[in-house]
Amino acid sequence: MSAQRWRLGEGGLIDRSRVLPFRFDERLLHGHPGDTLASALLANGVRLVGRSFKYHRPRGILSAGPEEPNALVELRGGARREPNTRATQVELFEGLEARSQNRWPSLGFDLGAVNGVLAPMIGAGFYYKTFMWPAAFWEKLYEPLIRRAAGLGRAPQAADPDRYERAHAHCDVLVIGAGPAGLMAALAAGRAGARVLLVEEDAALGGRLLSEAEEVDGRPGAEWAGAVEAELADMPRLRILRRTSAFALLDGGVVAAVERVADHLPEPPAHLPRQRSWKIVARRIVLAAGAIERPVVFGGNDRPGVMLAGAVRSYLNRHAVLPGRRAVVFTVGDDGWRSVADLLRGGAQIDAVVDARAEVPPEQAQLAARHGLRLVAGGRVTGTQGGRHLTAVRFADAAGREEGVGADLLAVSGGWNPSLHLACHLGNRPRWDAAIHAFVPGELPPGLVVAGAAAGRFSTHAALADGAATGLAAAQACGFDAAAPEIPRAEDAPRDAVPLFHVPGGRGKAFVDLQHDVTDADIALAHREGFRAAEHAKRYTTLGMATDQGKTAGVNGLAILARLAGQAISEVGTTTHRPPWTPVAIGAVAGPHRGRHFRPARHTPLHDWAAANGASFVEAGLWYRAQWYARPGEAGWRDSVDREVLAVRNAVGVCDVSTLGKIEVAGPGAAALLDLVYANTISTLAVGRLRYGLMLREDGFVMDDGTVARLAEDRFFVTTTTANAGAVLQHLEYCHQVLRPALDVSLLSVTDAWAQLSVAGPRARDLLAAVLDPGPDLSNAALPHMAWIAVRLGGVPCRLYRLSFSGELAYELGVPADYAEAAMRRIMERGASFGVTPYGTEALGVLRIEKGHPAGGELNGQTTARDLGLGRLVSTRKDCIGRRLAERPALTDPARPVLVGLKPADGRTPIRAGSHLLEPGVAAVTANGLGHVTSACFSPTLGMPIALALLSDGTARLGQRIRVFDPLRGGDLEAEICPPVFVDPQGERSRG
Amino acid sequence: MTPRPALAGRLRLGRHGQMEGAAGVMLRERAGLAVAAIALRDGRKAALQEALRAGFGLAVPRSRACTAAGGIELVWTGPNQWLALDGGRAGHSAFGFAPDLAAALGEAAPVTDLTGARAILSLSGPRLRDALCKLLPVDLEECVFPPGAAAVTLAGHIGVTLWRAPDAGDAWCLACLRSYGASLVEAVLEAAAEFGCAVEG
Repeated sequence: MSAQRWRLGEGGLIDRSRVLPFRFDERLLHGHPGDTLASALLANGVRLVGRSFKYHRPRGILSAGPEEPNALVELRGGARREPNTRATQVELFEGLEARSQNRWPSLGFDLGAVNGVLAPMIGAGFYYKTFMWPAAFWEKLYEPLIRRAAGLGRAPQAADPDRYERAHAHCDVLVIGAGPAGLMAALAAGRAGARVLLVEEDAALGGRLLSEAEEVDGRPGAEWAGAVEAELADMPRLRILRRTSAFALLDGGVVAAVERVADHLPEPPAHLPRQRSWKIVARRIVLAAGAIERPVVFGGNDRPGVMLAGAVRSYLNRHAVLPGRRAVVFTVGDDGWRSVADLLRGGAQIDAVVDARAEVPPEQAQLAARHGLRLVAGGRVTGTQGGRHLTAVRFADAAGREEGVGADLLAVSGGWNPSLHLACHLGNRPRWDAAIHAFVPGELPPGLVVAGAAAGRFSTHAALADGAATGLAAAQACGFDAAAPEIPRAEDAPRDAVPLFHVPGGRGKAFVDLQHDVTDADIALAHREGFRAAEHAKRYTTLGMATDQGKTAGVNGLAILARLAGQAISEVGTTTHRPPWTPVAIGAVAGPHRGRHFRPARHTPLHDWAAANGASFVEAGLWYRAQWYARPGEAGWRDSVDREVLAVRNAVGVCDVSTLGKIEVAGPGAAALLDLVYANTISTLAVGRLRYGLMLREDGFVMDDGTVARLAEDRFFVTTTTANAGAVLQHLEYCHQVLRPALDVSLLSVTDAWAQLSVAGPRARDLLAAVLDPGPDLSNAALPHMAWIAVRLGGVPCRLYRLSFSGELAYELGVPADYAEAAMRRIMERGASFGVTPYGTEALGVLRIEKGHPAGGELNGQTTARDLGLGRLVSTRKDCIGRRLAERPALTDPARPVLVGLKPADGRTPIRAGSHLLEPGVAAVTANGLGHVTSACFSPTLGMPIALALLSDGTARLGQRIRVFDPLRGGDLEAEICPPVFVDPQGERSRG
Repeated sequence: MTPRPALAGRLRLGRHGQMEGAAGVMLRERAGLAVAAIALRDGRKAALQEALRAGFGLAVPRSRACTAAGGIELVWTGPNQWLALDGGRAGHSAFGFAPDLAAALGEAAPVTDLTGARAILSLSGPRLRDALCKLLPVDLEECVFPPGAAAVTLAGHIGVTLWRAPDAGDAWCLACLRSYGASLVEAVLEAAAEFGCAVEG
């Protein structure tokens, strides 16, 4: 504790009973609860905190809030290392580790500082001018060079070990900021009975009251804030979110905020996230975000020890830290005098007060006289001295006479800029207020009001009154009412000031944007080179484009531009305020949706059964599907798949096809709707029968295929591919609601209601007869191909559809999802004597390739019905979606690639999907391409590799040879072109 | 034939997340419900109301609302569509619910059996709202979402139906498509971890 040599003996909102050890650049230091990292560093006399971005100049602590451009550190270590963290925003915790950044080999001696010497060569626009030529250098040399130089801290390489959450909040009145205005607004709205959400960026409520030595209602401001907080805490419909930054105003009264749940702790406690991002839906919003003090631009204004005057008061009053022992105060008006008074009370020696006003009000002149202070009226600070820290300040008096005094602290007060960012996020422009020399909110977005300092009303009394009025009005707008709260007594002093933003012609670099090292000379250069509009100058100089988004730089930059252009600031305009108000970690925005939780998983009712029976799973969209079922002794997946395929061809197999989309279409308009969306006619389908259905997109290409079963006169059961299930339902809804609203029809996804089992193979009928409850006639006559009947299995009502994807005698058995596993067990048990074999998607794929059925590789959004050999399905007797555009010449061009089969000429070389097709002997260039392989597999039935392909003039080429060229994976072979149906081309088996 | 409900084998019973004190959230599966979807035919609202009243004593819920009578819950799931859930009418088979409903509603509204098509969670506990607000974008406050309220919304990336049956006390229901059930349970457990979640059988 004795090491905290700059800690005041008493006062401050810190807990002196506890000492928190922490490290900065490996050095062990101590602070107290209630400290920020910045205040603790200052308490230990650490003033040099980092090196600047471009010139590697020594930098200290400028502010005490979120606007900090200088004191950026790397916080924590390992996977939790967090670069560019503002020391002013970090609550001190025991064991905190922070490191300075952008320096090598050390903070005190940084070789990068040579950039400062080179400064004349690397002014604004340096990159644009230097890295222009030769163009070939860009990728190999310039870009890596710039990337290395860019940025300050180092991002961690390891994955973030912490959790992040997203949450939603709803309220009548959202109050942003818990200073005097925000507290009163919350109090007024809360007392009226409104549901109130009070959001505060700081850990403690009170805003500037925590930093000022002033009284509210006859007691210290922080104490008054504590009393209000206690009353608010008792309101059941009021909620306070601390450590929460409202960072964006979005449409419809939605505010995005990030809550730093555990950033003030070494590690998040178990089961708590590190941060939580909130989406807040509010009926009314009171923006009481306060104001940010503006520095003045003068030579050497970046030296450690140059600090905003309000921040000086924060460190003195809130943290009980003396930021300097010999101070000069530079102010443009009344406000800096508050720092004079507080510094004197804290025991600092003040060598000079440089007041930009020619006439200093009598009470301030008297204060100076009483303490024997040197008062420089009409003065300007013109330069500073010091190596790693401020040692002297030079200033000029009204007559221009310059002199210097020794100082280790220069408190600067250039006026205050209202924190109006959120009021501008929806595109509203702020308005220049000549009375306070600052931008204030202009036209406001709907539902939002601005109170207190954020509205440019700076006295504590004004903030309290403003808060009470806006809070009550917001509650009233939501239908609540109460008497207006009494406004507590508080200071209401004038804020006289002169507009002074820049002291030109001083000594040394004068920084406008401290984080991006943009000087007044850079802005002058931009102006000379024609980048005169605010938005142009910003981009040319990068002013305001650092992580602090120019919170202390923006208005000064505009003021300098205005003077160069001979315009008023109001004429120069502003740059655009965009979210986020403060840096927000991407992790907080992603919330829990990362890694395995990036997207949900879908499981079929048979998933656990499949897993227990050796299945490997493949992701199909969100679904997990059994890919194959490995058996002991099988060397690899091909063994399993070949066995499964042959079992279907020779005995009977069963496959879980529950993931196929299933839709019930019900109502008297159902048939008409299906005739519209399917290329073939559905309305003629008899009850009890099935039909293959082909759906076209509006542009005439194939959208999806599936089957349609007519359950009743006014009810159909439609299946889709797994991948298109959602899209097809949407398409049907669109066709109904938009194109045919008069049809009386309803659509319902029943995908999850049914486990669908494909039972395929010559023994399928025998198996089903053994499994189903007795009764149904499964004979070819009673249940022919493409018909369905209701059956029972162990008393459970099921549906049996006779259809075949494999080309074998096959059925799909629809089982209510709850009974899927019981049904599967019965099938395996009773089917053992028929050789029943479960098969997965891989065997399913082989079976359909052998049969020439189009699937994903062929239904790729670029094929027509004719391309796929399904042209005859497109009915010419009715209209359907896509029919007209399918008749476009390009879609009916006979040279279009059509579906063919391929067999390797040597009977054994595998063909890979994606390979290009070329005339043998021609050059392997794109222009000679004739098509490509869409699906390929090894056919155990034929005992050789086979493939499906889309080939120009394919029908005419049947029987010819083609070159199958795969430059990506080094494949090159000749194949024989054959019809796409490799097995049972007459289709006799499926009808047997 | 033993039915296997949507979350069988996917719920780890017992305490999850924070272990100290009483659980903030209680979760269990509502298994064994017979479920059916009802879609209104054009211009048959009055007939539907009459049929549901006469057959089951049920009122047709308004938008974003649910009703219950005689062990049957009726939940609004979109314009002119509802989900009916039967917790077990005495003497009726679960397979009979949709056919009974269809017979009662006749031409007024097509009925489709959705038994087993949803994973349905029953949730309760003093911190339930604090947990659910991490998943659901809807306003859960008592005055906005009282017993009898229903919502169709998203929990993260999962489409869900949320309702509070009028007679269910503090228990809320959260349902999704059956196939998403395990993911939804994981999301609920994650959201409730800080309060402690008791998964009950």
